[in-house]
Parts: sequence; C-alpha cells; structure tokens
Amino acid sequence: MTLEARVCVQRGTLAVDVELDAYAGEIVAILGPNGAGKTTVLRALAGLLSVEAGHIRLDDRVLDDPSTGVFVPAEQRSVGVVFQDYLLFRHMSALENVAFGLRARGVDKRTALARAATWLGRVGLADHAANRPSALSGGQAQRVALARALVTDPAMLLLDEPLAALDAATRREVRRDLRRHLAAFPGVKVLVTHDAVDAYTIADRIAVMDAGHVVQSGTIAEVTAHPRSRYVAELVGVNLIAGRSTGGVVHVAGGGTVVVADAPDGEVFAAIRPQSVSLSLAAPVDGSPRNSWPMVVRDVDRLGDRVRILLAGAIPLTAEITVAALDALVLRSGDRVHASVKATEVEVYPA
Amino acid sequence: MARHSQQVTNVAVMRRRPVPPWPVLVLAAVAVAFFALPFLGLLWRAPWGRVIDVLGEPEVRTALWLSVRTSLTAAGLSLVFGVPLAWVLATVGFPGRGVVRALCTLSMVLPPVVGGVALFAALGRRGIAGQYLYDWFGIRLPFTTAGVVVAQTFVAMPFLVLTVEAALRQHDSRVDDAARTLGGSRWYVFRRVTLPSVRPALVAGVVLAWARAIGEFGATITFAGNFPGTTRTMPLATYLALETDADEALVLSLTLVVVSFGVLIGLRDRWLGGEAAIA
Repeated sequence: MTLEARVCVQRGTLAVDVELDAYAGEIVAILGPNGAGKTTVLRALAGLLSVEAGHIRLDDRVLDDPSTGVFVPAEQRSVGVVFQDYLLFRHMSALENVAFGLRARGVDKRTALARAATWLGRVGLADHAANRPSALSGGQAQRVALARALVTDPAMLLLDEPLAALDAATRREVRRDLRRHLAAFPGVKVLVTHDAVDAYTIADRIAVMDAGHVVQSGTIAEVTAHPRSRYVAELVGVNLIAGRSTGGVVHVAGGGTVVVADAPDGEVFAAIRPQSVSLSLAAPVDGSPRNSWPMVVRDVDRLGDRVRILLAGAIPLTAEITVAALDALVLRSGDRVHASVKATEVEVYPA
Repeated sequence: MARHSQQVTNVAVMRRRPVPPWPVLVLAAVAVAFFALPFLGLLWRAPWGRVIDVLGEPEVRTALWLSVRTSLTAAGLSLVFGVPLAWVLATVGFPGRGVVRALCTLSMVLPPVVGGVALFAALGRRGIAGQYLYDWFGIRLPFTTAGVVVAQTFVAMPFLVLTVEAALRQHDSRVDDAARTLGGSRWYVFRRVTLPSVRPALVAGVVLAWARAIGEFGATITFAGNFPGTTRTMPLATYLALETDADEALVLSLTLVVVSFGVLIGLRDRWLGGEAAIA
C-alpha cells in the first residue's frame, strides 16, 4: 500500500502546494506551526475537500485528480481519521461510536456491535463501552476515536493533532499507547502535529511544512542532523539522545547518564528541548535539576532575542537562552560551562 | 478528574452568583403576575359545577377532537417539510437565501387573517393554484378539515424552521465530517449524527409549531370557515360560545389550557430530560 499525493489548494490567502508519499506501515508526520496548511492537506487526503490541482492516489486507485475529473468523496474512501478534539458523537456510547463506521457501511447491528466491542477491548476500554464521551478522559476519548477509525479496516489512517487536546501529565502515557496501537496497523499512516516531540516519538519520517509548502522532508535523523534552514532547525531543534534505560537512569552509548522522571527499561530515546537546558559557569551545588554536565561551548548562534548554544561533552546538547542571559554569562566559543536539566523536563520513549 | 472538578467549580460559581438588583426583581415579579393572573382568573371564574356537563356536549367534544387531530397533523407536516427547509437554509449558501428565509417566515409576523385571505387567493376555488387542484384532481381545500390543517401549517411551520435552523447553524460540522470519513452518506450522517445533536431544538420547534397550530384562529376562520364538525376548532368554538354562553367559553378555555400544559410537561419530561429549556 502506498500513498502518492500532490495537494494544491488555495485557502484564503494561503496557497497550499504539498507533495507527499507514504508507504504501508510507516508513519509520516507533517510538522509545522498553526496555519501552515497541515490540516488542509489532511482534509484533502480524507476526501473532505477536493484538490484544485495535483492528484491523490492510494494503491494505484485514483482518489482525486482534477485533470481527469475523478473525485472519490470521503464516505467512499477507505480512510480512517482521528480528528483534533476527537469529535466523538456525544449522543452515542463509546461502543456505538466505534460501531458507527460499520453500521454506516451496512453491517448488521449485532455484528457491528460485536466487532466494535473487540476493538474497544484492543484499546483497553472494554469497561467503558457503555460510557458517553462526556464521561471519558482525554486519553480514553482518543483511544475510542482511534478504534472508531480503525474498525472498518481502512487502507490509510490520518491523525490530526492527536495529542494536542491532552494535558502534559497524560500526554506522555497516551503517546506511548498511541505508538503501540499505530505499530499494529499495517496501512499508510499520516500524522499532523505542531509539536516536534510528537513527531519524533511517533513518526518514521517527517515533512516540515511552513506557509503551505514542505520546506524539508526525510527521516527524523536526516532532518535533525541537517536542517536545511533556520526555520527547520528551530522547529526540530530538540536534543535527541539514544541510550539504555534502567531504573530511571538512561546510560548513553558514548558514556554519560541522564536522570529521568519515569521511563520504561530498555533501549530508549530521551528528548530534551533546548529551552529546558540551563547554563551556569560554576557547577550547581544543590539545585533541583538532577542532571548537570560539564560542557564546552562550540558555537553561539543568535536568533532574534534568543541564543542557541551548541555544547560539546559526553552528551552533546543544544541550549537555548535569552540574549540577557548570554550577556550575563559572557559565553564564547571554547568556554567551559555547566549544563543542567531537570529530570521532569526529559521526554523518554522506547526506541 | 478534570471534568469532575469543572463541575464542582460550576456549582460553586452558581452558588456565588449575585442576586440581581431589586428593580429587576420587581419588574420580573410584575411579569410573572402578568402571566399568572389570566390563568388565576380562569380558575376563579370557571363554573366548576358545569365542567362535566359542558365537556359532555357532543359539539364540544367534536371541536376538541378536531383541534387535536388538525394541530397534530399540522405539527407533523411542519416537521416533514420544515426540517429539510431549515437544513437547506442553514447549510446551502445560495443567492437570495435571505429573501427565501424572509418569505418562509413571513406568516409568523403577518396578521393571521391576512394569511387566511392570502391562502384563499392561492388555494381557493378560483385561486392561482386552487383552480387547478380542483379542475385536475377534484381537491377542494377551503371550508374543509384539510383547509384547517393548511391554515394551521401555514402559520405554525416558521416557528419550527427558525428554531431548527438556528440549532443547525450552531452544530459543529466537523462532527459530520468525521461521520462521513467513517463511510456515512450525507443522508445517513444527517439522520444519525446531525439530527440527534439538534434534538432539543427539534422538540422545541415541534412544540412551538403545535402550540401555534392548536391556538390558530384568524387564518382558520378566514380560509376554512366555521362549520361544526369539519372546521370549527376549539378556539373558534370558544369565541362562538362567548357570545351565547360565557360559562361554556370559560370551560373550553380551561380545557385548552390543560391540554396545552399537559403536552408541554409531557414533552419536557420525555424528550428534554426535564432540564433543557423549551426555547
């Protein structure tokens, strides 16, 4: 199964022109700020709006091609969508929500409810089958939305900001579950998000979008290692550290450890936002951050009123501080500095 | 958890909600009295000893039964045609939509007698459409029970259209999008997702339309006349009785009040969950 698409749509003043390919099994993330046109692309893929130029092909089936006049509307596409805010049907129970797609496609009620119940069990919500969406937590609602989208066995799954509605505390756990459920789905998967950490932790490849266009795409390693523009560097500039986690401590291959808040044991990635890294000239004596590493400044890069500082050490890091903080520290390339990060500021997810 | 604390907060806010200033309370009390007094008057003046007698009269029972039948039919017709009209007005942007909406709700602000005259000009024996109805199909609407239903529907449907259209406009169309990606045709999505989400407004619209229909007087007497058994509905019978037997008029009025009130309460408990407002 493959998706091959070029979406050209004019939305008000925004001209969206995006090429997107995805293979079965892989997860492609469209990463970009609000208003970049990400949701527009997703709606075109779902068949909720038609492209003005370009084409959408899924498994050699043409879904949309203005040049030949083909347009398959949403209800006839084999595409599941998990919407932002989930958009569950409030007047139906969780079970009826999941069964909806089967009922709409003419499956008899008994079979539909039985299959829906199986899916609710698969996402761990068998006990909540009779609950209305208003009685579900954000994470539970997301899993119902996922089961509802997958119950009809779609060829492609689209996710629009599936984690944006969650608070920070549940986000990490829900993200881990989402990864697991997505891994079990064999079709094409496209994820839209404005959060680089979501993209890294869930997707295999990313396409960075800005002002209607893809400014860079590739595997996460490629894009983070070689951001081809300042914009991409800033957006994806999250420190990504691979290592082995045991008992809340991540041991990095090149030596060095990262203390984290809670982490599954085994091979993991730890993500640290540059804004979470604080710098001091002397080693912190008894501050709250659990991580403190001696570093050498490699580069100082000013971006407006913020400064990105490349640090070399056992664990190479990028820190982002304000110009005022830089003026206080007076850092130059080659200076010695201590970088510290609170354990709770480290996002950990299985590799 | 978050939802729970939200509710708790709401309750706390409600408890702390300040009492309106006293002039507001006084004016509100006057308004309540204004609505309550006529009913008290009815109860006070009602000839309780004659209630059974009056209700036992065949003409009264015929009029009551006719009113119930015609008003329910009118409410049903308003539902069948009004919901599609509301759907189109709410979702389809076409040139002249404002004009169409104004036209379809004009009868709400029109004096009902004028509506009756207009219906006569349209559907009477010599009317613009009525002559063909009669010549081709032998259908005659004026001065028939069907004419009563037409007159009632004419004045009642706008209430349903406006209520339902407003709710459809507020409905989050992204939920319909979600249903479509799950394989629902437009009609299926409308039936299973859109309509249930506007159900309180739908019920309110039907109740308003029905209430307007059962109280209809002007358009009915103008277009359908005042024939016992076929077109003399309760309001007509009440008005007629006032000239001959004031006691009977009072009993008939009281009956209409009880029937209307009963339907309102019944609908509220069954379909509105007893909490949602009827507006």
